[in-house]
Amino acid sequence: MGKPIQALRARRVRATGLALALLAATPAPAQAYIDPGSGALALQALLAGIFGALVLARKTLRDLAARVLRVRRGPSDEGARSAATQGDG
Amino acid sequence: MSSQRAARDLLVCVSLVNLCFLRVWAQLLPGATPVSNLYYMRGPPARLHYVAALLGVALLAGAAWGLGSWARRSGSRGFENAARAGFLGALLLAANAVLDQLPFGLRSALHGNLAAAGVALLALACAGAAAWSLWRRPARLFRVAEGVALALSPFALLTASQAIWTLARHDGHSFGAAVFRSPASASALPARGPGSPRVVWIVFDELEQRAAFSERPPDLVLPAFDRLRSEALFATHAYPPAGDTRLSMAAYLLGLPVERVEPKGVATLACALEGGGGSEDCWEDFPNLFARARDAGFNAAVAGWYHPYCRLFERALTACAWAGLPYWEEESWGDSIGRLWEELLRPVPLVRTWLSPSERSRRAHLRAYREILGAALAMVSDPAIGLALLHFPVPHRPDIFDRQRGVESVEGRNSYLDNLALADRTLAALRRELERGGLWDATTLIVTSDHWWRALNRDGWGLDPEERELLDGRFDKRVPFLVRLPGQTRSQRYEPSFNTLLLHDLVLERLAARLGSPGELVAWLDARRTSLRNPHLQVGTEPRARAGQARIAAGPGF
Repeated sequence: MGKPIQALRARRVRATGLALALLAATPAPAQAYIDPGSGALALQALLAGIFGALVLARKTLRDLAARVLRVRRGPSDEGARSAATQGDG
Repeated sequence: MSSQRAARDLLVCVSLVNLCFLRVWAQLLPGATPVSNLYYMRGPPARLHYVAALLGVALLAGAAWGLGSWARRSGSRGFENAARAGFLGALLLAANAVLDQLPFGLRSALHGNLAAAGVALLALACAGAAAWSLWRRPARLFRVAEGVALALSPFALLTASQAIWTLARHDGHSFGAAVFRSPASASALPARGPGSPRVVWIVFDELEQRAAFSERPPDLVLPAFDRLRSEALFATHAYPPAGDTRLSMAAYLLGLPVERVEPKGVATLACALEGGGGSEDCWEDFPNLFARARDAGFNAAVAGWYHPYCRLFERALTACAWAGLPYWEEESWGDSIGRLWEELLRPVPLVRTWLSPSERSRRAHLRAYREILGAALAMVSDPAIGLALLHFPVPHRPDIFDRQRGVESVEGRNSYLDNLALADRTLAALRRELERGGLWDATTLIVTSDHWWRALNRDGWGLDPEERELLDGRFDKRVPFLVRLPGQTRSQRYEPSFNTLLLHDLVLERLAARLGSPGELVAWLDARRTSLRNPHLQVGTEPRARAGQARIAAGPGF
């Protein structure tokens, strides 16, 4: 009995959240004379966002780069290097 | 909760709140402020706004982080859902603020009629996708949103450092590359003798013919307007050059049919003229009314709002007072915080409707009105001034008068009609001052408006019942046009329609001591009215009267 009630509540919360979200998503009314923005901040935000995304994804990017390098060198190259390393030792 | 997780959450909160403040930053940071805003500013934003905005971001982010952490620790599903709803709301406010920052052309295209259908479809699709995602996999949606906020966190550092830099370099008169210096005045020309022409031109912003005269509600008493009408030429079908102050005042002062204008700097207005032509700096490249008056030997003065008259015409004006639009000028912390909240919550429709028209903006409007009235009273009683343009910010919104109590008021709910009563009171005060100084019968008095009543929603608060009743779903684009010649004691009604742009030339004619009688004025109007296009003429409203059919009424009855 508890579970369906909990599920219903969760749905209500989601529906309310969605309704609020849609309301808030409507455009702000134009101010009569003052221009709200020049686009410069949007550009700054975009550049900062790209920088932030790169920092956040640095581990993934490192892994990706390593994988690409591995593919380029090829498995034989990798094996030869491994043999050479062993020989040095 | 690990300290790494806590730091990550705090960063998300700071980033999100900072994005919600985007509208604020766009107006406070010199590099982000649209150049068109500079035209209306009296000076750079006050220092305290930078401190308030920085503190606002820090405190709100801290509060959001604290509440979120507490909700998570409490283990209550209800609190967690509430925190998620709050997060989602902030995300949408932020998204809305970002939309506002798109370049003007792109924003116009988004809001334009052609794009409306496409945008609606796109919005529906996005809403559908968000709904599906929220319904089926809420955790994933929040993870993505968190990731976006986290990626944008360097932007918070960027805005904060710009704000601190601007604050550190704040010198009270420069804002980035723009410099707001105190305008100088032209030297006073020798006073002309008694009997010399003198013109006082009053522009009441957004004064409408219908509300003021032709369909005035019975409970609205406007004795000063009625008295003036009983002894002046009174046109019933005068249409302004344009539907907004920016264009109309430019047209009036240049005497040219201005089709488009665009502010380009502190004292620069680009304009395009009807039928071609224009300039990137029309105040510099075309002669204006004040320069012409000065060339003719008259001292010119302006008291007005909106256009930065004192900066624009400093070489031609011997006296000037200007009240700009309120642009982060407030000096109190309360006002600053109120302003921040307004900018933050502007996109939320329900909040817009519930909040009353901001008392702060009404106080600023009242301050501007009082400043202009004070200067105007001094100008009209100065016999050395040959031409005075008085551009009052009433009956334009917001409402600053309570006509029931007969007092200026920024509290409670008043209407356009209340501000109309204030315009009448203003006219009465100016007349008293002219009479007191013995200049009433030596002055040509012109009363008109720059545009009709546009019945804009008052800060989303909607129209008053009395406003709605008067408006009745119809725009009436006529504006009052009253010209009282020196010594005139009888009313003269003029019915043919015309574009009030001709006032520029009419003022110059009067300064040249021509058109001294009502008959000459009517003949001149008849001749001139057809030579000017009347872009706002409402077809079907023109009376049967044709040119030359103006009639002289006996006494005040008309």
